[in-house]
Order: sequence, then C-alpha cells, then structure tokens
Amino acid sequence: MGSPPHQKPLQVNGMSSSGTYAVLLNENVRRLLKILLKDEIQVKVAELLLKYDDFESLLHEFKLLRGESRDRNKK
Amino acid sequence: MIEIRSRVTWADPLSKSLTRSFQISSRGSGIFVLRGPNAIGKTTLLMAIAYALGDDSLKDDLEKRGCTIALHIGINGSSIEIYRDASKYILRMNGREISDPEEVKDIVREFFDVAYVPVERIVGIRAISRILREFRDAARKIRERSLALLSEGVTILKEIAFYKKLSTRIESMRRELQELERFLKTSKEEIESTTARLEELKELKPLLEDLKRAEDLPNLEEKLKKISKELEDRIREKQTLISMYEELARELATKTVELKTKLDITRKDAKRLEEELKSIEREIERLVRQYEESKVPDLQRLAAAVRKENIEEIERMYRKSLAVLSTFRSKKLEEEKTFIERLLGVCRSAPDPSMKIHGLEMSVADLVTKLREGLATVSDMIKREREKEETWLRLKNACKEILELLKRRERIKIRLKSLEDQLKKLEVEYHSYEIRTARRELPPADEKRLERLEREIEELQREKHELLAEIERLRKVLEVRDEVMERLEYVVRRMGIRADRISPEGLSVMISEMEDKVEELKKQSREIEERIDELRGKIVSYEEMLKERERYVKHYLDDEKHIQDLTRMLQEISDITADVAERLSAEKIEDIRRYLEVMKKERARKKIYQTLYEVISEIGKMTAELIGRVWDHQHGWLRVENIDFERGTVTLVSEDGKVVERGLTEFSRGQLGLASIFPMIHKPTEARFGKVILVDEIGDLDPDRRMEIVNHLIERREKHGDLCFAILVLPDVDVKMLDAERDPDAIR
Repeated sequence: MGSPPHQKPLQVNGMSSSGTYAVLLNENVRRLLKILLKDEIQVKVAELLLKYDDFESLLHEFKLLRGESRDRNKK
Repeated sequence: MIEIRSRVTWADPLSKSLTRSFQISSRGSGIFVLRGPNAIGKTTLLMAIAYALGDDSLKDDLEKRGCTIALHIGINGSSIEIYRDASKYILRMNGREISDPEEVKDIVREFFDVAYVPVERIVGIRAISRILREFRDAARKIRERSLALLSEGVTILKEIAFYKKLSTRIESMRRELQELERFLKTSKEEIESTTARLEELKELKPLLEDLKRAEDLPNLEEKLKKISKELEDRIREKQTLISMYEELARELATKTVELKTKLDITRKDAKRLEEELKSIEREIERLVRQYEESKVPDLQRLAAAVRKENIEEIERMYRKSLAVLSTFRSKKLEEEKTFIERLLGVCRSAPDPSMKIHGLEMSVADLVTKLREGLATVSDMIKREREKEETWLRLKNACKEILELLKRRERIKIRLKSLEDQLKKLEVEYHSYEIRTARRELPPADEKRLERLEREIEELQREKHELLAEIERLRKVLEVRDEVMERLEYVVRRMGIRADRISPEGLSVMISEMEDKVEELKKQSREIEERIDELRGKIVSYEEMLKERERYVKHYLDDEKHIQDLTRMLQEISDITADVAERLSAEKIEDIRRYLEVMKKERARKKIYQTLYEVISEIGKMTAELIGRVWDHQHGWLRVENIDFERGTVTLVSEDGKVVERGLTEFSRGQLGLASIFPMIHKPTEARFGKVILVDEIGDLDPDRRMEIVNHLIERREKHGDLCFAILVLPDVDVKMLDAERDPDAIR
C-alpha cells in the first residue's frame, strides 16, 4: 500500500502519471479514512501509520503535523 | 512507425512446475489492438509491459506469479530492449547494457510514461470489492501498527514517567540529604559545646571535691603519723630479723671455712700416707723379686709367703733363722785358729826345727806341719760356717725387714682407712654447710614472717606516700581555695545552675546528665550519618539507573505531551479500525446490502456501525465519481451522481439536468467504466518517448465506444505528439495484434 519514496504520484482527476491504479486506491482509502476517523489529524496519523512502522519517525511526523495545524490555527 | 515485440512467461497457477508464455509482435502507427482467446495471457502481457516500463503497482502480483517479460520497442530508429523479472531488470539500447535495477527503472521512467487501465477492475462490483478490501487491509495495517506503536509509546511514556519519578526521588533525596547534613552540623556543634561545658564541669568537680577533702586535712595528718609509726615498727622488726639471719649466715660461713681447711689437711695426710704405702709396696715388691731371683730356697719360700701374705709363715721363718744362727761355732773356730797360729809362731821361733818336743814324740818341724794342716782345716771350717751363717743372717734380716714393712703397711692402711672415713664425714659436713651458706636460708617460719613484713612495709610505704602526696596536694588546694571558688561561681552562674547543686554530688548528677545528653546526641549523629551514607549510596545507584534510562528516554523527554497525545490518538485509531479490520468485506453487491442493513440496525446502539454505514455510503459516491459518465442509448452521456448500495440503485443526471435512477444490476461493467478512461488518455507527459496507454478488456464496450477510445488516442497524439503507443485488448478466437488506425476492423 505505501508507495516507495521514488514513486511520487501526481494526482490528476483521481489518476496518476504512473501506477495510477494503486494511487487511485490510495486516494480512496484516504477518503474513507476521513469518514471513518472524522478528525483530520487522526486521518493523517492513520496515513502516517501506513507509511512508517517505527515510533520515532511517526512521532517526528506527528510533531510536524501538529506544528502545521498550530500554524494554521494561528493564521 | 513503431515496432513492438514482446514475450511474457509466468507460472501456471494450477501447476507451479509448468511455465506458460505468450508472445506477440507487431509494427504499426502506434495504436494496437491485441486480440485473442480468453485466458491466453493478454491481460498478463499488458500488465507485464506496464511492469517492464516501470509501473511497480503490479510488481508484487506479477513477481508472485513468477512472471518474466522481454520487450523490444523499435522507435524513431532506436532499438530498446527491456527484460524484467523478480531479480533482474536489464536495459539494452544502442549496444549498451545497463543491469542495475534502480538505474534501469530511472531510465525507463525517463523514457516512458505508462498507464495501465483495467477498465473492468476500476468500475463495477469488482472495483467496489477491491476498494473495500484495500480499505480493510489498510485499516488492518493501521490497526496493527497503531497497536504496536501504541505499546511502544506506552512503554516510552512509562519510561519517561519512571525517569521523572526517579529524578524527583533523587531530588527529594538530595533535599533530605542537605537537611540531614545541616542537622548533622547543628548536632555536632551541640555535641561540641555540651562536651566543652562537660569538660569544664569535669575539671571543676575534682577541685570542688579537693576542697571538701581539704577539710579533712588534720585527720589525714593524724593518719599519716600513725602510718609512719607503724611503718617504723615494721622496718625495725624486719631489720632485727635480717640481722639475726645475717649472724647465722656468718656462723655458717666461718664453719664452712674451718671445715674446708680441715678437709684440705686431712686430704693431704691421706695423700701422703697413700704415697708412703705405695713406696712400701714398691719396696716389698722389689725385695720379693730379689728373693725370687736368689738361689736361696729359704728366700724363695719367703718370697712365696710374702706373695701369699702369709705373715705366720714369715714369722716362723724368722724365729727359725734366729734359732739356727745361735748354733753357729765360727767364734770358737776363730779362737782355735788363733791358738793354732800362736802355736805356729812359737814353733817358728824354735832354734832347731828338728828338735824333739818333749811329751810329743814329734819334732818341731813335724808339729809345724801338723799345725799348718790343722790351720788349713780350721780356716776351711770357718769359711764354711761363715757362709752358712751369712745365709741364715740374710734370711733373718729379710724376714725381719719384710715383717717390718708389712707391719708398717698395715699400720698405714689402718691410718689411711681412718683418714678416709674422717674425710668422708668432713666432706658431708662441709657440703651441708656450704649449701646452707650458699642458700643463706632462713627457717620457714621466719621466712614467712619476713615476707609478711615486707608486704606490710610496702603497703604502708605506698599508703604513706599517697597520703603525703594527698596532704601536699590538699595543702596546695587550700592555698588556691578562693580562686577556685570564684571560678566555680562564675561557671555555675554562666551555666545557670541552681546554687544548691554546687556540691561534688550535685556536679556528679549534672555531669552524668550531660554525658547522657552527649551520648544521646552522638547516637543521633551516628544515625544521621548512617542515613546520609544510605542516601548517598541510593543517590549514586539511582543516578546510575537514571543515566541508563536517560539514554533511552533522553530524546523523548521534551516530547512527552506529544507522545501522550499520539498514544491517545493511536488508541482511538486502533479502537475504530478494529471493527473495520474485522468486519468490512464484501464480494457481491448483495453482501454490501446485507451488511448495510446490519449496520443500520446497530448504528443507534454502537457508534462504529454508524461510521461504517457512512463509509459504505461514501464508497457509493466514490464509485460514482470514478465512473464519472456513462453512455446511455436513450439519453446519451449521463453523469453518475451516486450509487446507493442499500437500495441497489444508480442515480444519473443528464446534460440537461434530468435525474434518472437505474438499478445497479442494469449496468454492464464496461459501460460503467468508459468515462474514466478519457482523462487518462489526455493527460500530458514529459517522458522522452511519450505516453504508453494500456487499456484492458474493452470487449464489454459497444464498437462505437471502442472507436471513441481510438479517436481520443489519435486526438491525443495529434494534439500533444507524445503518444508512444497504446494497446487495447479485445477478446477473439485467434491471436493477433492489429493496427487500429490502418485496420478498420481491428476493434470491431
């Protein structure tokens, strides 16, 4: 499910420049996660969980996420 | 013009040992239609081409099936050969070969932008199932990881909590340590000050005692006098005893000396007598030998008697010799000889020798002859007598001499014996005196008396000495009495001691109280020190523990709040995703409908069912969006608004805004998917050789729709000029790859 880093799909109309099929499904999953988890940060954490399996990386990303959300709130 | 040659092999799913293969090649304008019977490998080839051109989304699936692909593309005079399987990814181009998979992948992606479009998989129930499955898999993965990371997070939080607790504990221990050290210092100061006061009191106490004792000075002096007198008596008594003892010793010594002198004289006498005895014996021996050697039998007999010490025999021989000697006539014979000689003289004076002597009838000459003969006989007789006499005389003398010698020897022996007895007696006596003199011993009773006296004297002397010293000291104390009293008053005043306690007894009580207090304080200090040591030890070991923990939690310490939030969130996520992971699955529209009914019933009771209900509803919307538009013979293009799984309907909106509702089962799979292909066909690319579009399963579309796809592809190529090639898959009886532009029947 997690795309390798070198494969950075660009989304165009729900498709991607390559490997569209998988990305399309990724997008679907993301959308469903939004409904399932409701909270935006929870969705992002769930996505991070699909990407990382070590606590440190997850924590790092989580901190960045919160930083971003704080910044957004400030604005 | 583009040329494609391709060969795909894969393991037969029914028999893993068998490998199946499919190959096809063609030249044409670039829009190909691959036709062939079902299950021959058309889809596998299409997927494999996408895989060869760097699409990794199909990688797992193909590699699991042991797929290999060899692809040759001839384009604009370039020949590109690609080979890919699970372990190799090789690119050959213009005689150059690259075999590093990552490098090949980068280059291939630089060259081609591949889009694999499985029409039937994107839309329809398979797509829905797929979406559901992917979602469920994702949820499962999210749940698994959230649980794992949650546990890690909880562990880290516990570690942080422990670390903080440990830090707090160390901090509190340090505070306690500081307090204890302060307390210890105070306690020690108190011990010091109390000890100083105690020392002062201890110094004062003997002074006070001395002053009190000084009142008793006259009595002490009286006692001294008494003791001195007693001591003098004892000394006198001892001296008397000793002088008596010395007198006795002197007497003994004198006696010893006397005895010694006497002993020496007696020894000399005995020695002289022994010498004498020896000379007598030597003499006797000499005589005996002489007799033994003489040829006189009597002398030899004498010698034998001497050897036998037969005194009686010797005396008998002596008596016999005396008797024999008395019988010898030598004197008478001498007288006769003298007479004869006188007669001869007379005869010689005769004038004539021939004259005849009157009365004798012989001449003078005859008489002379006769006389001469008589003289010779007498002389001879004398000679013989004398010889005999001499022998007996010799015997007599010898006997006498021997007897005398033997008698003398006997006397000497007796004398010597008596001397020896005397000597022994003297020696015993002397020895006894000598020992006594040497020991100078006293009779036991006197000895005991002397010992007792000496002890008593020693005791009395010590007592006297002490008493003297005491008297001396007390006299001195009396001299400084005023000074002491003044100092005592000062100390007592300073310490706030009650006046009635100023006495040796009072001071004793105070000293004992203060000593108790000092002891108590010391005990307390020791306890504090022990506690301080214990605390220090604990701090060191806790710090070590903290250090060890620090390595682990150090970089998490500032993030505790984040970690708490994250773990909370992970908990929530794992709770929510649990039901998805466990329950959400559907292979048929009917499954989904049944599922939705359950969720509808349960949603009021359990929030997650409401959420899952919403998720399924969203999947309906999502699928509608994916489909986008569908072609309807009656209404033309219709936008898909929503798919209601619960009711099994599709809501469609025509271009003029008319809403049409259809049953979900009425739609063919291809019909539902067509619209989603177009945006992909028109997506621009910057790849060097352009876009590669691979559309699977267009067989479900009617021929007009298939043509529409071809037209869109031609349009794209003309508009952007970057379409490398496209392959559309159609079922057929024979295998062939046709040029869709040149062959009007290619997609029919």
